[in-house]
Amino acid sequence: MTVWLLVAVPLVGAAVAWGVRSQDGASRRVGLVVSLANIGVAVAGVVRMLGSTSASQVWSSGPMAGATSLTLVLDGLSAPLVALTALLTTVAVLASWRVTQSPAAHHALLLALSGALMTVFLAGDLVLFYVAWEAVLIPMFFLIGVWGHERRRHAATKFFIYTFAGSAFMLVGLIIAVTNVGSTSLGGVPATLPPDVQRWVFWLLAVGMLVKIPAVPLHTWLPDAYAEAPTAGSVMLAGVLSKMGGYGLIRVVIPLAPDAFSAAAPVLAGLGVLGIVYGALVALAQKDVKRLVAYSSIAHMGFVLLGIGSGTSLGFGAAMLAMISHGLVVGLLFLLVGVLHDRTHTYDIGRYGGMARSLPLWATLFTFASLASLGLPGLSGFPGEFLAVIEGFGKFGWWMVVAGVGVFLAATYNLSAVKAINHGEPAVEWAHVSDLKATELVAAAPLAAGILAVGVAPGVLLGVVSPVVQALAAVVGGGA
Amino acid sequence: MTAFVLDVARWAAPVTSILWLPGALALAGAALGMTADMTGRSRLGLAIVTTGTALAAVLTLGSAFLGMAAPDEAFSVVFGAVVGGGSFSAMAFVVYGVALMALSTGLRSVSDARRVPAAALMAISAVAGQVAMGSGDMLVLFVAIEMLALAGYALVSASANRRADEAAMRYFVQGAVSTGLFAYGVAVLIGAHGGVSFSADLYDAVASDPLLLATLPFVLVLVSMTFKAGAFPFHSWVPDAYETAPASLAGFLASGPKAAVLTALVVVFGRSFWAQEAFSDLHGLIGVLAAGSIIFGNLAALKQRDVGRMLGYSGIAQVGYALVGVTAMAPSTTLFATSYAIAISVAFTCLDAYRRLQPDWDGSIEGLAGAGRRSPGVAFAMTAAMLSLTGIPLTAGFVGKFFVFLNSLDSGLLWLVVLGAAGSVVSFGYYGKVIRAMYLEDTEGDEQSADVGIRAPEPAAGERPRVWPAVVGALIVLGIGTVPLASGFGGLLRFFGV
Repeated sequence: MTVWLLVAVPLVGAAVAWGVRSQDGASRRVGLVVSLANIGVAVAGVVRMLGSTSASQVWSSGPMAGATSLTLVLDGLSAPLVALTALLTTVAVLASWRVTQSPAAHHALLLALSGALMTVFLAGDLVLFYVAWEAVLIPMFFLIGVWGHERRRHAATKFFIYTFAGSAFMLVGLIIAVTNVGSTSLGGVPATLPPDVQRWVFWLLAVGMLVKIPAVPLHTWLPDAYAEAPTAGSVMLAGVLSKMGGYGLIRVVIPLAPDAFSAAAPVLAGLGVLGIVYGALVALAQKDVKRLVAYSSIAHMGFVLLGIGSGTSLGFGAAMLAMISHGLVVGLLFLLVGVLHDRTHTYDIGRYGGMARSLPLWATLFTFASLASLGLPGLSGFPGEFLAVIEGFGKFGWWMVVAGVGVFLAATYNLSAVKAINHGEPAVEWAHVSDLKATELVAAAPLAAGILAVGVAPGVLLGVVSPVVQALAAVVGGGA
Repeated sequence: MTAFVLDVARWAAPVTSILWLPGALALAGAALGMTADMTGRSRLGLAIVTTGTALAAVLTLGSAFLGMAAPDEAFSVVFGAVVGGGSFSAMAFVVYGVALMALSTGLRSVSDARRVPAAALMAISAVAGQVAMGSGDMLVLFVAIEMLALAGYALVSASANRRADEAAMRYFVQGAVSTGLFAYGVAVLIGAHGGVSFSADLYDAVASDPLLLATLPFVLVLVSMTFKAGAFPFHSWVPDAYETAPASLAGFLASGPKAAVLTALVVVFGRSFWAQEAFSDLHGLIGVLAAGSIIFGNLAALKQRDVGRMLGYSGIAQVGYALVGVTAMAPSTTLFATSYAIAISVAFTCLDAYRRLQPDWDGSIEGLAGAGRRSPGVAFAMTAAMLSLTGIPLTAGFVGKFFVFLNSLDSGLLWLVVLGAAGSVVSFGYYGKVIRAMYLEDTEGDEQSADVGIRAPEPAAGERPRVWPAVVGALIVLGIGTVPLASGFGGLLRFFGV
């Protein structure tokens, strides 16, 4: 019951928000109510899942006219991401509270996006997974293209074509898998594909996932899309859409092709390490604070790939931790950067300075988020990335020193951004801008609380994830 | 729900099982409509033609559902030469349906004098399409396909200007060559086998022929049919024809006859008993035509500025995907042809409506800027059509492509599937441009002109274009893409899969 509500609530909400466009501000209230309701449903679903003896909550439409039926599965792997989606949707609704250009369409698209993302994370069937995966593109395309910054049209088209190209590979891979397995069901997939088929399936699917994450050679759409999207779009893109890739690797690709995964794991880990260093280096060179956050995302998602590449259950758990942490941290950072842009209409780091004086509350939260981003122990960034490096060390040895360089660079770019924006000579032109408003504070508070909670007690999240990833690690280990 | 529909189908069975009735009604509508037009009552004439076609569509739909309810007795042969019922009726419904969509717009972009004749030609063309798809005799197939082509030449020239005449003339001259090839191929087939023209007997006879005699006439037939379908390299008439024909007629031309010819291709080259025995020699050839169509159509469409021409070139690529299905002998090819036919006719219907709404529109993609705000209904339907033609999930186009690719991989045609997937990505380059123009492009200049009161002249009362046919079509496109996610794809495949 609760499982299908997770999908139905935002989709129905989208229709309602679209319908109330005549009334001023009604759509944003619909957006808020619906997204809060979905948080409630998500919490109820997770509580029921944890309370029940079975590892997952399954909802199925039952066969109607044909053989296949719609199946949604909530388990340890999907639950954290479902919760993250519900939370960040609310944040995105609050972040776009003052959108003036067709607000009804904006909120409707945001809720539709949320519904599609929920379907991706809950899909129990390859076809549904792919359909939802692609369906995410449509609202995101319009969110970037209509409500984005100056170069929004270019960014929206580039985003769509890049990810659609990745998905085309994925589609071919999925069809190969379906024809060979003879079933479209996810989970309970017998891992008996012949080795050469596994290799095809793995790489075709992985390309689609790696574009979405994005891993380094396939990341070129990211800076434009992240930077040109409106704040709500950036929050959803970086916070949730990038997680589709990591989730897809763990949920879809590895179970279908465990042997090919074992063979390719060093490549994935290598791409991860490359991303960690490359993302950090490019972030260091940015003069635009939104692009800085965008590039830092590449580095953070590198840790996700590294964790997955280690192939151990703790490594998969680390990847999940890093994904949830990145979702919270980058969500908060984009929210704060968006607030700053709202006040100053610029992203140029050089024009800021001494913001701690004019925007004390904002500056505190920005420092907090930056510390989480650089991986300060006690905040959410630390456990996932640390665990990923530890697991990587166990598998790949001293190569992890390179990742360590990335961690060092992360401290550098985060702290130098904090220094340049919050401290130093106060910028005269922004001396009188106003601090966080109530809606913005309400949006930021749960993210900050989440960052703290995951940082202090990462074991809770690992506990939720562990049944699924242990089973997976056993499959991979058995195949190696 | 499904049970209810099946009950209705059973209840209506006595009527819907008369398989010659739809064609007869559509033809009667065309004849009566023309008669009314002769007496100067063109509105009545159009209404009669539309009614005839609508009745045909309803009957074929009912007959298709009847086939779902009782699959064993779904198919039967009409007049000893045309197979009907089941998925043949479903495809006939598609052809009548797209004709009905074009007729429902009122054909206001066609001049008064030619409106009813054009409508009657569409109805006749739809009947010819139904016959071509179900023809169990090579001569009947030949006559039906020529009928389709003749109606096509006339429809292309319906604009009655020099460019349209030129396009129609070129189409006609090239078409005459392809007719010759078809006639020659059929003559060799029938002549070499003692006057047998019934397809099944012919296939039996061919199976024991020497290779050259078995292959050559079918190569000629294949070339001729792929010309009618507009596949590479026999495509050169397509963009001119679609650009110059009035958009509502182009919508039918691009959908109805194409769906019919593609289905006939599937029947002759993909699904026949003969095909499974001796067909393998032609596989490679069709595969090459498919690949060429996908590559050429996509690349050529990328360069177009005019929406009609872009749709024309993209249609070549779409035929390529269908030919991939023919190569693989995929039963889902007709499902793909259905998705293509509905989406392309929605697209042209949108263009027709938009041209009426914005008389100063130059037909270019950039000229659609701001359509999302000015004509939300048109923009919505157009977006659904573009997404479906690209093959994005939640639309019929995805379902069609997905199953064609699935069947093709089962037949080991990985290279064609990869090419098709790559072509789909490229296709967003031009389909996406339309969406981008409608919703994303700056329309500030437009708002300014609205502020000072200078607006595009409102169409005169009674002249407002009908947008609902396009919107209904768009909803069907989205329905085929979404409903089966919950209800399963099996029914859809049985319904449309020949």
